[in-house]
Amino acid sequence: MALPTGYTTRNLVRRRSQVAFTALGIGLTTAVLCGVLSLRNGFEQLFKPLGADQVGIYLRPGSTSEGESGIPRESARIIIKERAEIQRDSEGLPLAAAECFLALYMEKIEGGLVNAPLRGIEAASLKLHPDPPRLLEGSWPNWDADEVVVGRPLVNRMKDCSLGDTLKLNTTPFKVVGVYEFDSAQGSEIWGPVDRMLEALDRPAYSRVIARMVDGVDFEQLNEELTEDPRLNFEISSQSSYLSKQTTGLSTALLYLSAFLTLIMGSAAVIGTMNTMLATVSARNHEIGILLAIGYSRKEIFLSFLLESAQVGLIGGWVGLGLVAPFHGIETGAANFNTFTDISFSFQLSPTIAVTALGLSFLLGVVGGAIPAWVASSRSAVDALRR
Amino acid sequence: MAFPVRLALRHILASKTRNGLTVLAITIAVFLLCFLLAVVKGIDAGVRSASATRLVTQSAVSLFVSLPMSYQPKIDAVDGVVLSSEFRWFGGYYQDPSNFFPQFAVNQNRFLEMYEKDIEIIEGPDGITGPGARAAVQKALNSDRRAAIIGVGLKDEEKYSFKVGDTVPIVPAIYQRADGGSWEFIIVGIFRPLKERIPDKVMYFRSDYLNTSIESGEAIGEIAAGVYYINIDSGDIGDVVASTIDDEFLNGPQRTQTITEAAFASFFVSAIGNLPLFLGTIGGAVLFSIFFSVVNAMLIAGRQRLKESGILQALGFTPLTSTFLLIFEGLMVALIGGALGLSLAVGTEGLVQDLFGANIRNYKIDSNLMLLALATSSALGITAGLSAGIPFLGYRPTEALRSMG
Repeated sequence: MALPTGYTTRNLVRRRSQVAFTALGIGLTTAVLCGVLSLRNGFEQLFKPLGADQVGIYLRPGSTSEGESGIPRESARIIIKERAEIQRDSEGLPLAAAECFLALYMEKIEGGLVNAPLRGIEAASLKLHPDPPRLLEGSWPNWDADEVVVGRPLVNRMKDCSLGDTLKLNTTPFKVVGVYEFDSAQGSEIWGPVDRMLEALDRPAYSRVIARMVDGVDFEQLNEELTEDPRLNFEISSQSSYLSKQTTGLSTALLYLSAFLTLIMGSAAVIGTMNTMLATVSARNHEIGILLAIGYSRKEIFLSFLLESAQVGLIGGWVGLGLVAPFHGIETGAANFNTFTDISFSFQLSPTIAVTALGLSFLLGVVGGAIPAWVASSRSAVDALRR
Repeated sequence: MAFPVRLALRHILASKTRNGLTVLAITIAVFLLCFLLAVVKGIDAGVRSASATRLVTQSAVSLFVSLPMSYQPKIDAVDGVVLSSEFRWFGGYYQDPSNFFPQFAVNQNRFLEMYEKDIEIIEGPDGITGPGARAAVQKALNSDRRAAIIGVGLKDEEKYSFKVGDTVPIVPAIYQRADGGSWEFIIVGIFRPLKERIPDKVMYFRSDYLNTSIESGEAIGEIAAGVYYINIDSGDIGDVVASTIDDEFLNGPQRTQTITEAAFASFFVSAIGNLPLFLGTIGGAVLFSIFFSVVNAMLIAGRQRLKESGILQALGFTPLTSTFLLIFEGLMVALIGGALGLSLAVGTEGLVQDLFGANIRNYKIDSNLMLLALATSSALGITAGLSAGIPFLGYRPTEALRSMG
């Protein structure tokens, strides 16, 4: 005989308050999992800019991030001028820039200090990325003036970051002349002319050289060449491998957190489901007896209760998604552990995360319903009918 | 009529599966709640243990900009300053980048004087322990420029297991050596932090080792002081001293920002992101979802007890008795679950400290937390009992007796 599915669904409607409570329990579990994974997703997205394999980053050997690296000015110039792996633009100029990086104390608009990333850049910095930064408002900085542009997320999060504001670096005031947008981890930084910045900050050295590579470069081979040149002390890596090392701290922390919370909240949700389903089974003892009497097999009864529980789970999953969906796109900030600077990113709910969450809610329903369904299917028809 | 105590107790055992499951759910919730709150409190403990008579002078521009060594005499000369000591971040690692612990370059004598009440030297050279260890360690620190002292955590943790007399190689991330190799430090003392603010996996070494190496060309980097910690006469003059120092360096070469040690410590906490809010939200969601499952369980109980409520009323009990019976059941189930969850949290305290000690510092289930856990579970139980029990008041005995259960 076919599964009594209509019967199962009608029962959900009949016991709607219990179903609602159970579904909410599962829904909150799903919501928390979804929320943490969406945060992680939003964070990771930043570190996967388009064409990162075509961009190379030169750092001082041994430094794990550009915050630690230091590159003397002369050797940066040698790299940019002489290296053959660096692509040139239509006018024959190298698509390479020396940059400096510093975590700057900034005040948030809601109060409190954070480490905001400050980057000294050169004209080539704006051209060398396959998916280059875009100017939203104002203009790019004048390369000989004390001017900066700020990443879009900073405008609403930090003080002194609106167009026309003045930002004081040590003792030198810099004017905010533009707002840019860049789909990468560098999208929430403050950019100004590198040499002006080094002077204002009284810093001796660049942090890195970044360059567009010619097609088909072999980074391992380049590193061998670089060690052979006695004038240079550099290590090169592709931007994608550099960035993948930068995400690990926060990303792994969020992954562990989501697993831990899912495990704990999931057990609680399973228990709630089990309670509800056990009550359902015991209230429908008589009906189970009738089903058995009219010829349904134990397997079918087991499956019908399991199906009912799975339906509750799925309802919960949709409730959870509904709770998280309004957060999609909301921007927040957290420290990138590797450079200890604040980075702006948003909740990014993706189809994969949504499917994972629905899968989890289905699973919670099935696991929570298994024992009650087994209890229901192992009733003897006579005993069940006698009640 | 009196409250039927025996009946109330029987109810708890009447549906062992349901109440057992509810107890389990509450156990999990209370455990998680204790865990999250202990993490948040542990973070706060560092800030709260900051000294009221200590200031930190740092660059006004960035945490990563070092102040010049020349600032020290000028800071010492400010009225109200007792002692200043430089702290410079070294940022190296032991063998592999994953073996990371903080190392600071300090002036050994100023450091020991400043931290007299903040750390306790527990072991010095030649196995010396007890009150004499401090003087012995100071002497040893002054006799070798590579000398360093470590927190007890670096001795206890297996992958380090550093002992007094060991030569420890540290791979530099900032101060590269000209030969491309590691820096070598000789452990001459082990201390135990007396303030939660100070980690126990940390190394302090002589800044002149770093500076002379840079001067002689053995190492690359700038000679600077990092930040200055400053002991002042009394906490009341903190603001005045801070603004005097900052005014002194207003025109550079590096502008300074002088803040209390507590503010400095809390900056590190807030820079990571709003962790208390994040963990609080999660804790709230957990509590909320458990609340639903407990209310649900009590509603199921209530539905099954409707007939019984009719019988009780027929016997002369008031409807209120049935309500109280449910509240009692909810409270007991919640309290048992709460107590179990709390025991679990207390029982795993050592385990959590061992497993996550490096990331979750000062993890402790204290008496406040225990009270809070029990209060939360009681409130949970009573509310659940109430929401299931209140409908009883609306039924007349005949209606209740007629119900199907």
